[in-house]
Amino acid sequence: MTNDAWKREVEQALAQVKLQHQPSFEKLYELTNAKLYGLVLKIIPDQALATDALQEAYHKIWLNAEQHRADLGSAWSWLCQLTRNQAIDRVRQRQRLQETSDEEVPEAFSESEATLWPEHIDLNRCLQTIRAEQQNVIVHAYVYGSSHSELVKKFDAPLGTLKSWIRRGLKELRECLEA
Amino acid sequence: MFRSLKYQNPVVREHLAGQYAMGLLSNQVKKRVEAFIKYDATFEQEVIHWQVRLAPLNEIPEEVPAPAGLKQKVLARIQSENQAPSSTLLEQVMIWWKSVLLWQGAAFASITALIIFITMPFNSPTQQTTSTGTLSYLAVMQSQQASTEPPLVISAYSKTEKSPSRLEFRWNERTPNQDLSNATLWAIERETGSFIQLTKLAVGIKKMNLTAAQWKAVNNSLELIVVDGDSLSSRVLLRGTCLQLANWVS
Repeated sequence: MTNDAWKREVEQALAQVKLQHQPSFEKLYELTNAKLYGLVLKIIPDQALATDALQEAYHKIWLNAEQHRADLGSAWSWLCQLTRNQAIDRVRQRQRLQETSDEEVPEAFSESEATLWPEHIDLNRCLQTIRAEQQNVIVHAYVYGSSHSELVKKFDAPLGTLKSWIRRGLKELRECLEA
Repeated sequence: MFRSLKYQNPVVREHLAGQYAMGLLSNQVKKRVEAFIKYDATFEQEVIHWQVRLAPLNEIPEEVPAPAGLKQKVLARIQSENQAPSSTLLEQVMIWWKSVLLWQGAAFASITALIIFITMPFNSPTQQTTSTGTLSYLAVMQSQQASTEPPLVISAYSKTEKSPSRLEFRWNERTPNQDLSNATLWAIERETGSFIQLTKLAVGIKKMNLTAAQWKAVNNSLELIVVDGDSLSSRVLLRGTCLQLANWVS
């Protein structure tokens, strides 16, 4: 299935989940579980906890589907935000069982641009325009769901500096994406 | 709380929206921001814009299929919650039944019908409409009342060699039935704001084929609305933004 077709399927399935249509919910699960589980595992490396968080996320998707504003954002970005929030909440309720500090900061996008969605190319291009430390800290915070204190340890930088990197980085990203 | 000037400051709003989408807020601040999202629709838009900007980062992690059995756990949980209200209702009905000493014959027939009705699974359509063609537009129709669930989703499919373009209607069986016996469906033109009537809404309609003119009206529409009656001066019952999901094919 192409990315566009996949996005349409997700959009349609979520629209029908808003009607509490269970077969559509099952379809949405099939379409998204591998991507969302991969996302959660970056934030919670422990598989049992990650599975609990994903289960909770799907439960919230079922209960709160009507909160998705289809006129403003895609179904996929809403699903990701809800799932990330769930995973981040879960991990902050506990000590991290496995430190992720030995992992490299992920490269923004390793694939060739030809295989990326148009919005990926835009974000990738804009990430290249901001300073390396800003780029690294934003990508790391997003992908691993790290808190400020975890980022301080990871990047060995004072909290104020780190917050400033994020603030300026996000501002420059927004300006670049809207240009 | 949200009337304070702090929350009206564009710099503060932008900061909170970005940090929320990043997942960097403490639990306490995050809860406040989530309450603010529900309170201020413009702020909700700012948050969603950030979610959309950052969404490509969600593609970085590799896909990992969720453990086998998780799907069944999730489904079991939502099914048990869907059935819970039925048993509560049933208990209430049985208490009421015990108090009914007269009219038992008539009441028995009524209660049997009621039990059959309430123990049926809520909204359990087991068949999806088989669809051919490309899903091109989608409108989630909301009522004017602050309902938590939309009563209707309208999907527009482009024509294929074998089938004409069409609208499909999926009704929410959990929301109270509205009287749509005289209702009509309209498209609001994106550029001019003019209204084009698409069809009268027969009760329970599931599908309608579109003429070329009707398809064009859907294609050019900003929004679909359902009004009570045949005239635009009538009350608007449902409305939903018409979202384009695929390129238009003539």
